[in-house]
Amino acid sequence: MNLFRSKADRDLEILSAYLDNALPTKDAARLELRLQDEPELLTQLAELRGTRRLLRDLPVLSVPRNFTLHPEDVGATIRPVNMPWMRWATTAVAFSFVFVLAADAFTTLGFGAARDAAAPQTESFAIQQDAPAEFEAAAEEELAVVEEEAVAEEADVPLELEATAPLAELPALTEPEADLLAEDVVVDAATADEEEPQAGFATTGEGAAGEAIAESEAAESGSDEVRALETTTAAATSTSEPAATITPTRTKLPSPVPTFAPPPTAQTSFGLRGVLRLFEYCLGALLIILLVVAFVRRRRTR
Amino acid sequence: MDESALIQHAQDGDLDSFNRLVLEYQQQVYNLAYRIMGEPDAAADATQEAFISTYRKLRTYRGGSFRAWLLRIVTNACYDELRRRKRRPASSLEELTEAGLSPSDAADTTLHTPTESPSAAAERAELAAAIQHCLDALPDEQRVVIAMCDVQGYDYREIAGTIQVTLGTIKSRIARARGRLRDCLRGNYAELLPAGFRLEEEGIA
Repeated sequence: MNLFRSKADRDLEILSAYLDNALPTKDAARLELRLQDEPELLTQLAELRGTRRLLRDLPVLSVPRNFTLHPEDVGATIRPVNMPWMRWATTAVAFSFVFVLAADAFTTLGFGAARDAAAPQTESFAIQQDAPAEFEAAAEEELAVVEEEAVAEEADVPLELEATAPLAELPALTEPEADLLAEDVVVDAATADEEEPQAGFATTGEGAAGEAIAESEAAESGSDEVRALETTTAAATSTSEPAATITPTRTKLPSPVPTFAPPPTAQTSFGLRGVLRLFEYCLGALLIILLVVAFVRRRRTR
Repeated sequence: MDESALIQHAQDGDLDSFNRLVLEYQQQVYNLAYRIMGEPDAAADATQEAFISTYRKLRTYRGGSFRAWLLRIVTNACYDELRRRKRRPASSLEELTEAGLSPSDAADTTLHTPTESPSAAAERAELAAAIQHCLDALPDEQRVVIAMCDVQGYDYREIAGTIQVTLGTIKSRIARARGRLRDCLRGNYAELLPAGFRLEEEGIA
């Protein structure tokens, strides 16, 4: 745009700014040099100064009347701003509400998913940790009783081994070999069951495994520790007796500890969620009240 | 009571405090409005409207120069009135010309100097009317800035802050306005200029 301005326009602007001391020092010095050499420019400056003087000498006009306002002039009173605390309170409550809402959402989505993922691990961990420690002595005791009974009956009852699938394929054994094998199997099964209950199913043969499964199904409400112990007992008996005469011994063990109690994180999460919900309701109600009050005040003062 | 306290009370709805501000600024506001509008009645209307608007907008005032804020409202009120007049002209061109040339309106409202003779007062009023006529011939944006700068005595920065334009624009508008006023006075009202007033004979500042 400056490219299209004439030299006269540029000179006019420079002279006008020079009159008002609004010209940079460097430009002012340059103009003063030009003024010494260019009389037309000097004349132009004098005319502008005279014009400015005329304008500044214009009389100050007195007001024709007072312009003070009356209540009827403005219709109503000005909207009072003497309740700034209310604006601050509304802002604070709104922010708090959003924060609590976000915290609740995070708790529900984030903590809930984490708890669901962590729960099975916690249960199995409790079983592995608690079972050997609490029932080891009882299991050994029970196993000893069963072995004694088996040995005592061994003399009276002729040995009729129920051939299990793996054993049936073995070559015919003599009686002493069979006895030795039965004892080995019983000992192996008992040892294995103490360490891993399911190992008994594999080593004690089909009949014993079937009974063990039946027992475990019948005693669904019982703990895994009880089932493991019963399986061991049944397996030990089945190797020395006919399957029909086996009477699994149920031992009334002390009630197991509540190993399935919800993890502490779940309890904390639930409590926190409840508190957050309470805060949500309170803050939401407060926010609505503040907004309604502000709206009513605004309508009244309008 | 200082200005900030009055403003605070006015913001709280105290009309008396606001009216004290009105009494403080009404002459500046009216003079600016008169130089922009060119008519006493229109200037009075614009002034009244500006104060009412100021009172209603007082909540939005966030500190700074109250005078600049007030003058901005007055300027906008004048712009609105000028635009309204352009859309719906209420007077004929002849009436406007006569009103512009008549020195009576300005003379009636001028602050008279007690020692001034009637003839001198009449000459001064006539010259003021001529200047006002030349002012009225300016484009609106030039008239506003020249009225604020040369009539009211505001500096460039204050004007730029008031009408929300850049400093360069202010400089340019003032220069053009002065050039046009010079041409108008020299060409149409040379005989009204003071006897000792010779533009050609002015020297360097």
